[in-house]
Amino acid sequence: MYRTLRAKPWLSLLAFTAPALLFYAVFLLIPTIGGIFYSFTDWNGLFRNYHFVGFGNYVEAFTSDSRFVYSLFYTLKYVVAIVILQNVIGLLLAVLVESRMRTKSLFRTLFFLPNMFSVYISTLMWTFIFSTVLPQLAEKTFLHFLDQPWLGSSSMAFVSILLVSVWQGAGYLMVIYIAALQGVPQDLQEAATIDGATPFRRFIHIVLPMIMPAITVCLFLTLNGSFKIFEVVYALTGGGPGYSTEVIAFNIYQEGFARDLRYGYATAKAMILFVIILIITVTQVSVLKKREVEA
Amino acid sequence: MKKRMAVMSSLVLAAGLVSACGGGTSNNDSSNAGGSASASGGSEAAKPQKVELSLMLTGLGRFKEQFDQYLTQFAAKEKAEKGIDVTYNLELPSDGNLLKTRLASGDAPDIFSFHAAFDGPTFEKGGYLPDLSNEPFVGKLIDTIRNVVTINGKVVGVPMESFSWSYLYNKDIFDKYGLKVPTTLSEMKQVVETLKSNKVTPFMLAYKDANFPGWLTQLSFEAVAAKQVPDWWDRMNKGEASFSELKDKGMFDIIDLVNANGTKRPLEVGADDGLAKFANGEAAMLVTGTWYADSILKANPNFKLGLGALPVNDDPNSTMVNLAVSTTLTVYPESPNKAVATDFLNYLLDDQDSSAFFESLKFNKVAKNQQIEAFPWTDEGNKYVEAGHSYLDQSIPQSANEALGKMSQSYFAGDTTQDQLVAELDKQWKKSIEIQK
Repeated sequence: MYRTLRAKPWLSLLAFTAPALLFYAVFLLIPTIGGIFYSFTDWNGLFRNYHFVGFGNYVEAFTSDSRFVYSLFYTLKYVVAIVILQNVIGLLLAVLVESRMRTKSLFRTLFFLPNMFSVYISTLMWTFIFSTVLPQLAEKTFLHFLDQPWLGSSSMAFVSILLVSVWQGAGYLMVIYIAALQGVPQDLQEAATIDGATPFRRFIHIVLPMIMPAITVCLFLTLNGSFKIFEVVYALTGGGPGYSTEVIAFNIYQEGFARDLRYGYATAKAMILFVIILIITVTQVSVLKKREVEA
Repeated sequence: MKKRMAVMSSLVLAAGLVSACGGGTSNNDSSNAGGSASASGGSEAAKPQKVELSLMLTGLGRFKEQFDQYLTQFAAKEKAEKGIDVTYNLELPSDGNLLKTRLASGDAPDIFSFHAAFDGPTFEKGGYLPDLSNEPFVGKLIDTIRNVVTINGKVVGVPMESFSWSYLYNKDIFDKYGLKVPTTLSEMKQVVETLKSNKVTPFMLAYKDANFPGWLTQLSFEAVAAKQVPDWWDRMNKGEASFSELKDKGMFDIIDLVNANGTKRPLEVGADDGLAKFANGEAAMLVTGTWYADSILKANPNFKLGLGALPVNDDPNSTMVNLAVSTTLTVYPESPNKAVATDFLNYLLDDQDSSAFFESLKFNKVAKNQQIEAFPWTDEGNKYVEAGHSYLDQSIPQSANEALGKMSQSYFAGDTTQDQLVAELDKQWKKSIEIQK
């Protein structure tokens, strides 16, 4: 037994991952394969028979589904904004929290707290803030700029969605960045200080390269997560006003459950989303991996 | 406590056993309980002694108590008349998507509910609806209601929850300013002016939920079509008509009037919020159906709710309510317990017990033999229906229905013009027809 394990180390590795792998296969891998299969059919999720339509669903998504293409670009816009905002704010919070001496853990908890709530519930809370609290504040105080159609116009709805997403996600990234910041060797910083480097230069030339692995991870997380954004839009605007804030995941959901029950077609769109995320994240990780340095 | 748990779990196990038998004995027309399963193999004449009905009541889950009681009554009746022991299993959660999954996988409940206008055509096409045209209950149905549950000439179920609906109004506010329910668009404009001059907001708008603006557009175009372009629905479902015909007949007049005289910031007000505000007198009217009567009265028990028909032009005959059936109970055509399940459907409209049951559910009358104490708003709705001021709810393809809400929302927000709204509805409707083919 021992000898076999020595000869084939992957066997023991497999044994350790087996429980996780099993659940992964049953609840993710097999349904995914099923999804690929159904994306080539016109199944409506209800009838017992269906037909194969080849790549018809995929062609339709790009040629005659203007709403899907719109949601694709809308999501892209959201992803760009959220990846930048969330990471910059997350890193900023991390640096600020790290610079505190006594209140460090208090602020860390405070900023991480939004991440502990269920996305859906906290978004409902924000709906109340946008529809009632902010207008009241604008009316009763001097903060008149708060009187905006927060969810009522398509451009402000975009801002509101960003606001809630950043509020929700930045704390999580902050924790990762804090861990990375604590790993930056003190001697390098001190040496640079002696050489007369300003705090800003130290941050750019020492801290940033040293926390590159964390940046890779955080960018991956935000890219991956923001492409799949659903709950915030679902709870905050319901894709409205009209169809103006419809993101891809919401478009897919509506196609499968709310419109003509086109499961096959909706699955095809989900596959497209999957491929897009796959390509972008793989490129991102492989590019950023090269820029990581060791102390 | 422990004992109860044990009893419960053994019951669950027994239920599992029974249903397992039901699946296995497909040559028998009903499932047998665990003990007699072995007998079912050969003897065809063996009368079913025990039957367990499974029910999935989508959209009726809140009436579990009432159904429990009625099913117990039914079990007693079935035992007395046919000697069958009926047990039942009210499946919860009862969710629309779950029901569809169960239907598709062939593991359907014996009795289920659905929306005749929305789901009916698809369910019928999938072969999930029975032909109940020859059942005794059919003769009892009110004619107009029977038409709603008739698909391709077949009566497909027992209508349960039915409404006549258009808009709701606050009777106290109307009485205070001596207003009468308007019968034409001009009268409606006067009502709006009077309310505004008394600093009362005429309409409650809860447009965050796309259903609300959608209902307004739906009521408007349906009323215009019903009176002025009667063949519009037929042609539309063949892909030959267009919403622009209705637009030319003034379907946007009432929409614009409502939108221009509503509460502020409606795109941020959801359904619950809007209902609560309406219940507390923040506006005089709300375009929605009586299915919200319960919620409104919960928010304010002293609320005096009235139901009016939305005028679309100056012809009082065009001022009509929509007569809709929102839930229909039916039996799964391939159910092994079809006979007993059908008995239950007939019992729903039983001469003796039906009225009390419908009254406990607060549902409207659907059959001629029912005597139901009606709510004031139901009476008002019935008056419209009896005077011929109603049209039947027809099935709008689901894509078009979604577009109806979303585009109306967008139209209110000013992102969409009337022409764009009309074009989008036409497009989605045509697409749906093609997919359904």
